Amino acid sequence: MRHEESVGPNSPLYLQLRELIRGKIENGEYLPGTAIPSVGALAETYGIHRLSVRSAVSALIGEGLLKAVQGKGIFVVGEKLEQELETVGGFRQNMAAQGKTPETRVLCKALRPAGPAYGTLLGISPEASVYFIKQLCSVGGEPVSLEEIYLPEELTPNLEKIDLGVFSILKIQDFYGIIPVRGEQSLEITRLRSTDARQLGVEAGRGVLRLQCVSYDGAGRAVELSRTYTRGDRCTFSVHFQRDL
Amino acid sequence: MQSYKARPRERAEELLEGYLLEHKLEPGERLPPERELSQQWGISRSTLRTAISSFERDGLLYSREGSGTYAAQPKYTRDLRGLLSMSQAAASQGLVVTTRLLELKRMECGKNLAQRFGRMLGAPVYKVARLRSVGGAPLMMETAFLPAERMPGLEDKELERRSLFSVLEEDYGLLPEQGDEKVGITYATAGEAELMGVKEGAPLFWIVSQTYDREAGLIEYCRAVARPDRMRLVTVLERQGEEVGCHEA
Repeated sequence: MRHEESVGPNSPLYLQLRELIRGKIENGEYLPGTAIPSVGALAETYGIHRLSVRSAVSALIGEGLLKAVQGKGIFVVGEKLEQELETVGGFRQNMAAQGKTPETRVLCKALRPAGPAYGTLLGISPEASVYFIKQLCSVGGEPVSLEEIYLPEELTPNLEKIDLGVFSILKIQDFYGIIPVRGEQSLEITRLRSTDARQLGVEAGRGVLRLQCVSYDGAGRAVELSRTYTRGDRCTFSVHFQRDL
Repeated sequence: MQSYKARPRERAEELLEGYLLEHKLEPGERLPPERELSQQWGISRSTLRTAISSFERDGLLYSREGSGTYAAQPKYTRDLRGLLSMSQAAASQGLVVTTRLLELKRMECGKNLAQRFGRMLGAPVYKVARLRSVGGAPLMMETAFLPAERMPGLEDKELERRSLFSVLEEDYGLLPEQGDEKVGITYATAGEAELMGVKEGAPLFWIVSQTYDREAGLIEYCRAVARPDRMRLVTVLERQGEEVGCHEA
């Protein structure tokens, strides 16, 4: 338990604002993954100096409740992810360019009906809404994989307000209290349609590796379907296996 | 928020996939005529045709001239969680594996194999190359290397009739306990193309695996190519440490 020093009407304004923002995060007015109003807007709303606003915000950034993203704003982080997922089994992606940080560019983010195909795979009605996200992952400026993600709207609503450039899907699921515990993966080879092939920088007829993963939470609900199309010349997948004892 | 507008071909593929998932066609069962489907889905015949041919190439459908389009045999599923031999795994999927021995010879380790097996240069290894087919159709070509001193007389085992892993276990007491597998893409060479029944340059799975016995260490190093229209690889990713999380709360 954290013991808050009590903040009252006579406390400095930046402390009052800090507690005000904290309160709005706690009561859900500022949702995890979304941006809070800008420093200028907060200063104007409450009639206080921008420097006081900055102090309040940087205190909360220090606590890990907010996150500043250059050029984008200040975002609500929410509860911290307990730890990196410790997983067994499953394919690991081995990138040709080790050690470089991948960048992700969102090509499409839209709400759409699941339809018969994705509805069946996610175990929901074809009429149910899903968020469809398509993103291109590059390493050192070179495209490596194209990812299509389908998330049931019922489990992860209000995704339009969340900046996918700032938060990973896993992090977003965590905001909603969804913990994927199991992923069923399948690896196949397919060929891309020409527009997708162009995005990924491969010839249309060339085969690419397609990794499909359906993730489930502890209650057995499908929480995500993803299909990652990976360039065979830049990536391999590996898996470790063991005899069940 | 963008509204999602699928391109016609994308839509056709999605509808076709949805149809196959919903109707669970038996292998050999016929798809409704193209005319019917294109009307029902409001897409052009040629768009539907393109979607169908990409499903054919991926091994989900096949067409017969003048008679229609049919659901293909389900792909052989290589489950990377267990250590079932291919024959055992195929049997559990109702499939029969046949093996053709392409080459079996005793040879000396070169630098790379010696390093991999932790042996001296020139240590004896067996090279076993086999073509595996399922239901008579070529599926995979495997070239395995095994430390020869652990399995003297491997030449005399009937490797077209018995699985390599059961020979290792029953005749030599070697039990595959764990291993790793790396999967990528390769393109068929002229020789592979002929054996596997594909065009030269067709994409194939490239699979490199290592299998270990608890005491003997590395007992098999294997390089394989496989037809992606007849095989898929699956595994399950599981999150560990759930209990840790609960105790913290």
